[in-house]
Amino acid sequence: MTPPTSSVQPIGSLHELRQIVPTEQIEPQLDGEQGAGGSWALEPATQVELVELLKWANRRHAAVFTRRPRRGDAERFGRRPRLYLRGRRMKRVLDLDIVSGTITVQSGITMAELHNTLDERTYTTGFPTRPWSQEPLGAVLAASLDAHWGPAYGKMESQVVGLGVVLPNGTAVESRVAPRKAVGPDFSRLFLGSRGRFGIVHQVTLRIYPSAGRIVSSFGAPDLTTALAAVKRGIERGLHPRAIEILSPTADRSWGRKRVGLSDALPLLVVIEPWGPLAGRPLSWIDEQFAGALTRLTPPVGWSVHDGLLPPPRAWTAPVVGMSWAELEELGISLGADVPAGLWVVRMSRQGGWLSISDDVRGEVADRVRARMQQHHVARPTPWDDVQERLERQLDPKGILNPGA
Amino acid sequence: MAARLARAELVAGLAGIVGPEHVSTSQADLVAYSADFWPKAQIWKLAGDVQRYPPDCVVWPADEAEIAAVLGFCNEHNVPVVPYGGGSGVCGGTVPISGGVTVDVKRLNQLLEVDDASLIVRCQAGINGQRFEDKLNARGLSLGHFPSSIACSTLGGWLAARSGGQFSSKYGKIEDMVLSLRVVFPNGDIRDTGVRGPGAPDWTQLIVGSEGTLGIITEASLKVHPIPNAQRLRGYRFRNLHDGFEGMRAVMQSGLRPIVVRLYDPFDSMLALGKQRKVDRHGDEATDSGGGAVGALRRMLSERTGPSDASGDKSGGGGLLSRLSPLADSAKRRALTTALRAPNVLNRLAHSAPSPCLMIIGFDGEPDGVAADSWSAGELLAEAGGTDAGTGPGEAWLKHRYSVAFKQAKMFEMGAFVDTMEVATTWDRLESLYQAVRKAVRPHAFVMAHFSHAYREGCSIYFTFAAYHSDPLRAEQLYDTIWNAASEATLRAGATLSHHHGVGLSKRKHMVGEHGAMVHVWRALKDSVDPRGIMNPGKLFTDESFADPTHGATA
Repeated sequence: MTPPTSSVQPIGSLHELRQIVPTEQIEPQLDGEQGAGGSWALEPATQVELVELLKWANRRHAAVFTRRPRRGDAERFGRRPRLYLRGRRMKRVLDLDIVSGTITVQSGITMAELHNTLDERTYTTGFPTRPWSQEPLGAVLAASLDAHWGPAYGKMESQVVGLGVVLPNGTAVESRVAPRKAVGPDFSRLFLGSRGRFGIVHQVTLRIYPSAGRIVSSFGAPDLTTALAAVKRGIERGLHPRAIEILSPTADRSWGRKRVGLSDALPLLVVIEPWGPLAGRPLSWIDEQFAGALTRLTPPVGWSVHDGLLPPPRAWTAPVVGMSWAELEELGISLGADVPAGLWVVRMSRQGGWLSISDDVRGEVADRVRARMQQHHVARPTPWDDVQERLERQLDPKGILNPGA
Repeated sequence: MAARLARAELVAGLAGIVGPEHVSTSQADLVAYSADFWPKAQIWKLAGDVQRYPPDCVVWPADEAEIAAVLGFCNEHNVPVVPYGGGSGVCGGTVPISGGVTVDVKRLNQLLEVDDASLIVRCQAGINGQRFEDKLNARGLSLGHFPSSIACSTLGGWLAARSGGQFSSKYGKIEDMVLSLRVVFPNGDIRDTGVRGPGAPDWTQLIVGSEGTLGIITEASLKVHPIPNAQRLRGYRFRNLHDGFEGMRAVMQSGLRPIVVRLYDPFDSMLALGKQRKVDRHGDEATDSGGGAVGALRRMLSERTGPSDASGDKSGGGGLLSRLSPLADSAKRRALTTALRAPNVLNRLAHSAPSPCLMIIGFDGEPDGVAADSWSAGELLAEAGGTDAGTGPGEAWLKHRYSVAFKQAKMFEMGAFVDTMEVATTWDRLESLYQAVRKAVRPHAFVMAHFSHAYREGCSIYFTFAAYHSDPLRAEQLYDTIWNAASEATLRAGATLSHHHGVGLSKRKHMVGEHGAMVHVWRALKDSVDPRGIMNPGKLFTDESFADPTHGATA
């Protein structure tokens, strides 16, 4: 029995797509106009299906999107067929290599699903689950969303040790998994952060880490300068924790700062999670190093409380900006004793950290922070835009993949 | 496309940019710049072919603007350009196989900026590695990058080839240290990879490792570290390689961050322990391989790849010569060549010798942290079957780690050749990779190995092979045979062909096997920034790599 389709969907195209993806995984989008090329949401499950879809798109000069349909797509792309790919059937765990400490998964798996899988085996990727728990891994990597944990994990991109990608012309490429290489540029980096312009990531191999009990040390700091100085000294003395963050709770959070022992005199929270029993510095060492400069919070703040101090994940749309220590210290001096609510310095290393401030915090102090962050804004056009456009033309001469991304 | 210029026009044009005193066509320069440390080029020279691929000329630009002008000029006239740093590469990456202009960047040698607060430095790419480290040391800082070529290589060369230093387990390879860089493209455009807009890939990592085929790196921003207050190295012995692997893996996956972890295979351990007996001041007992053929072999090869040059990235034959010094030259030569004529026998003899596997592990940092980490590592290694061998092996290794990097020529003088191959893979494949490469090379060359550059998810294996053929032409063929056998075995084992030496000419024919259909990405990248193909032509990939678009596809 032929499933119902919109009267505006070209039957020929649909028939061809059914040869590639099961009929039940093709959902007509009812935004096409009479005579348009057709619009479908599809759920491929394998690399082979992706390859065939992209080949089909090249033959039909279709537009292929790895995002949801948007208002105006029909008008913008006129008679071109449009395919909206979903990753819901690409969630398989392909390999869990405990010996090497890697996991290979399909890119449609959500961050929450990935971490649930690993949690069962007491492992973690080191990525934050909270902000993007329902986002597919592929989307997180394509957008280069960054990790919120400590220097031990580095950037999210750095955790990728292997990648499977389908290029716009339907060619499947796969990088060889190795701890480090010297065999030319790291081509996989072309696909991380470039929002699907150069290819569709369908498979990812990531480093995994033992997820020891999440015990943290927590301290209160009177101002940003004091907090930064303590963290800097700790790192210089050999602190290499799982996580280290400086944050000031937002006023609207139910937990509230008083609940965790913060006050007007101690508005900033510094949380540190050590590595484990054998590596790095133990809690007692952290306590000794930090208690002199900061005020120990008793009982320590757990990660669940820490989560409660921040805006809900979906509301967190504020930009996160990388700053050097020199810049962070300048910010600390400029703020003096003022500490805006919703300030967040994360993933701190000896070179610097990532700064953000909650969108809904208003006021002169918050604006000062935003002004500093604005200095890091990369304005369009960037010096690399023309190179990227040339590269896009080379890899996708028909402009089928995420056009206008 | 414009025709290539006559040499006189080329030199005149370049002299107008960099000044006549910074352009050379002298025979000495053309010979010097016709090859790097690639052992195959040494075989050519031994056969009397001293400059198989000379450049048309060599230029030494003073700054980024001159480099941009030189590249613009060469691009306009379709002249190949070979970027050149220290010439310490061992893969032929700077051999000008299409002639053209060799652009030596050593005049760009300034440390431009030091951000003490953030521990970030900005430096020009032509600076010599050791001088760079010395300048940092003078300010109480260190890059933490110590390739055995440090005295004769440059920052730009490290970046171009994804160099790895001896302390990579803690500080990472050069690609882990670099934050951003500036690059001049063939059309003369200068770009800074530090400016990464939304939706942009990481251009730093797409330029690093390109071996001069996309543009010339002129400067870089890098992470640096305070000079550690303490350093501690120690040796451990394991009954066999497997136990050693488990120990290494346990340490790296515990979260400990040793500066170095090195595990020697039985024969390499025998050399290492033999040498250590001479220097060990702590009375640790070392295994003696005894007399007979194995003892003779050990004595013959001792010090060549022990803790001294096994540390390095360019093994040599200096220790061998010192062992043989009482003998006449002809006798030395005969002993070496006779042994290497029967590599199968030699390999069997060497690996039948009973020897434990030696591991060296070290930490640096604050004294209390170093002590705690060393203790933790010792616990993990003991659990894996390791026994403490004292501080002697580590001290010996540290003392001699650069000492043989330039003695390769002496091995060649003896009529033999030696080369090294550094492959890498994940822990689950490491042992099978070791066996596969040894099996593939065994019929053609004497082979031994050590395991270094360990990381959380895997490790590099550093093979050293030595071989001989009396006919120089056949020696070149033998060299190729060894590399083909080793490369194919590596790829079949699922490993990568290079951890830190790069590709150059030596591995380019295997790059389709390494990257599969990813060559399409390379072609697109190359065509986007160097459509005329003037930058270091013929390196990384052969032209044939792109002949069949489906070749190597992994779909």
